[in-house]
Amino acid sequence: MASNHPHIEVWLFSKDSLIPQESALLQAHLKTCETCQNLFAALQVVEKQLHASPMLAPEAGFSRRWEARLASQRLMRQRWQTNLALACSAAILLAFLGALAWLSLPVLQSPFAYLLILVYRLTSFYYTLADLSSGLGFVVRLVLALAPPTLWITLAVVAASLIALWTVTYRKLSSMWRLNL
Amino acid sequence: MQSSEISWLKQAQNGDTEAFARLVELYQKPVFNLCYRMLGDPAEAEDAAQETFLRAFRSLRRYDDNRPFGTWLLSIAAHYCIDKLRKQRMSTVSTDEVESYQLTDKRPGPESSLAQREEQQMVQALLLELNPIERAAVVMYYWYDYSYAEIGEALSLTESAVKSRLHRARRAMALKVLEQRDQEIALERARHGEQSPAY
Repeated sequence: MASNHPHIEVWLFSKDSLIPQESALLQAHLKTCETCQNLFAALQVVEKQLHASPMLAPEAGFSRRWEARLASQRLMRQRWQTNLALACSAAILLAFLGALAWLSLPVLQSPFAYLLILVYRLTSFYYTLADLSSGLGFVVRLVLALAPPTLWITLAVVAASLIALWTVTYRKLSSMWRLNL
Repeated sequence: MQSSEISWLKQAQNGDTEAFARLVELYQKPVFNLCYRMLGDPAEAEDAAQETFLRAFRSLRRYDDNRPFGTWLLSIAAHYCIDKLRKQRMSTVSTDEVESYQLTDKRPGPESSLAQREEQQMVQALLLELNPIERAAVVMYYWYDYSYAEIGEALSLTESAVKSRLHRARRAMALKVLEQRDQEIALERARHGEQSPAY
């Protein structure tokens, strides 16, 4: 049953300490008002029960269960990411195949003309390649004639040494950077 | 915070699961207790406590070192339980459905265990009278001795809002005790009425 004395209720239920005058007024009121007296007694029961109630612990092995749950969540996330990657790849592949089918539709309708164009393109590509290789052969023969073979061997050995030095330096520097992290 | 705790925290922030498991071991009791007091069911409390630690582990990089780790954990637990209660609307669960937690009984005799269980049920019944935020504030105030400022920080409330919530909570719980007492008196009277001979 709620009381009809809201200002008294404020004093009763707020845990702020009252000034002596307010405290005296509260005590005097409690002596005369049965409703507020009951509320005060009920509050005391509540506070006693709450203060007496112990801190409850979970069943043994809580942290082990937590670790197992973390592992299972990580596994689930990995599976989800794999499935997502597979789904994306499948979608891209489907789109590619769809585009290919769309583009090859005219070829399927009149294949002879496209076959002729293809043969022409392949032949011209072959001749271009042959021209390029003969030009490149001429340049190589010219350069070889200008310098003796020992110079080429020396240059190759110097280049290989430089590459090896660069690789070793890079590996050492990158491992030091990792250690600093 | 102790130095070992700080070191575990630093290791955990670098992704060390074992270091965080030590922190779980250390804080499992307060987190579980808050979840149980909020949800009133041991299985749900276990689930909520586990989820709290998972969320904490995931957002450990965002943790502010100046804040007590325990308060931060309890804040995550309280917000998780508040959301769960809001979703389930568990505050309408009747007191008969409150499951009492089996305490490790240190006192001899079956009566003590029964009394403890009854006390637990009464406390949970009182807490169920409150809305989720009031419940969290009451648990933090009475079980963890948190100040209004700490409760406010954990529940994202101002100090005056915390005071007002606690005031309302105490009033609701006191009224519940009075209601229970009136029901007991009425039952007692009815029993005596049945037993008394008819003149």
